[in-house]
Amino acid sequence: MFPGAQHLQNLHPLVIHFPIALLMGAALLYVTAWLLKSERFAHSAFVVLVLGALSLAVAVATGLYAEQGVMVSLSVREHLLRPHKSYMLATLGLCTMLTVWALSARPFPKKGRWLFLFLCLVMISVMTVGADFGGRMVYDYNAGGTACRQPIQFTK
Amino acid sequence: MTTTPVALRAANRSSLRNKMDFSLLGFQGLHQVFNVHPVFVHFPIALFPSALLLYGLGIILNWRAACVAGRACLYLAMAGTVAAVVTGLMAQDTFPHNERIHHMMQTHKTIGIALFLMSTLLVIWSILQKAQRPKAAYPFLIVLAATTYLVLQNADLGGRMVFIEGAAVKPAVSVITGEHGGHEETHTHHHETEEEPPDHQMH
Repeated sequence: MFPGAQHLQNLHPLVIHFPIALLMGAALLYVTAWLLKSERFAHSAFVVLVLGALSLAVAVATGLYAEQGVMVSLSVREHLLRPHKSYMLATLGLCTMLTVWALSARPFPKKGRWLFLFLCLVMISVMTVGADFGGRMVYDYNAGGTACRQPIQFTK
Repeated sequence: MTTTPVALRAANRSSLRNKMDFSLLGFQGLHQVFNVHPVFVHFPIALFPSALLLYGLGIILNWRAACVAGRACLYLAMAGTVAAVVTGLMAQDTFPHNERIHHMMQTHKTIGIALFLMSTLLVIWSILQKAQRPKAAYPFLIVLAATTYLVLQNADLGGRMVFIEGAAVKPAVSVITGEHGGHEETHTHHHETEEEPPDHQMH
């Protein structure tokens, strides 16, 4: 049914789309809810944040599982994979905190709303930097792919 | 053997530099990729299945809040589809590719344009709603499920191009252009004419 997926070294590239899109979507919906003072947008943002948090947990789990097996050189592992992992674990920490906060004062915390929105933007920024490292591994070093021979040494 | 505090501080600084190299920051990946299409593909891939899940729950369980969230996901998915299709069309000439990648790319493009049309239809359909439930709710779900299936199929095709064929992967350029092995030829675009599919099978 999906022949490309059968050729992948691991499941991580299949699931990473979900946290990136859903957490960005949740942040956008929360900002819109705040600007328009809309409960409807706030409810949507909350649901999308919860889905994003769940998918992030899956993405981190598959990433940690894939870490040992992915065919990249030691230098790529050192310069790109390690920071990618650190940023994404930080994203998971922030996301867990925000989700627990939103769950306890759903859908959109009234107390400390500014801080909540600020932390949403921090989470998106940290995730974007982490995703950039992931993108470099794929497009500059064919991580997870079989198109060229490994190891490819890291170059800045 | 004793370690002086100065040596210890220097070692700590060096260790910190190893752990965090700030020169790698600044979205270098974005500057170095052949095109920005991969940045936008996440949105339709993730948001159409999410819209399907939420609308499915909302319609089957008569859960209004899920329909509202599904609608938000659908709108974001459509915006993401527009961005992905536009950047995809702009991307097709930005990286060296062979006949095999080109053949896959044509199908990927056709499905992408079909997805844009289907997502436009779904957005218009979702506006025609009563209490957040689209009119003809079950046919709406079927069209949304078909759209989601097409998105995933197209994502699979895109993934094959990148991970297996090496499309837009920098170290694979020499493989694609035939510098290794010498049997592949770089594809040049002649979009006016229909092209024959490659006669060799995918492996």
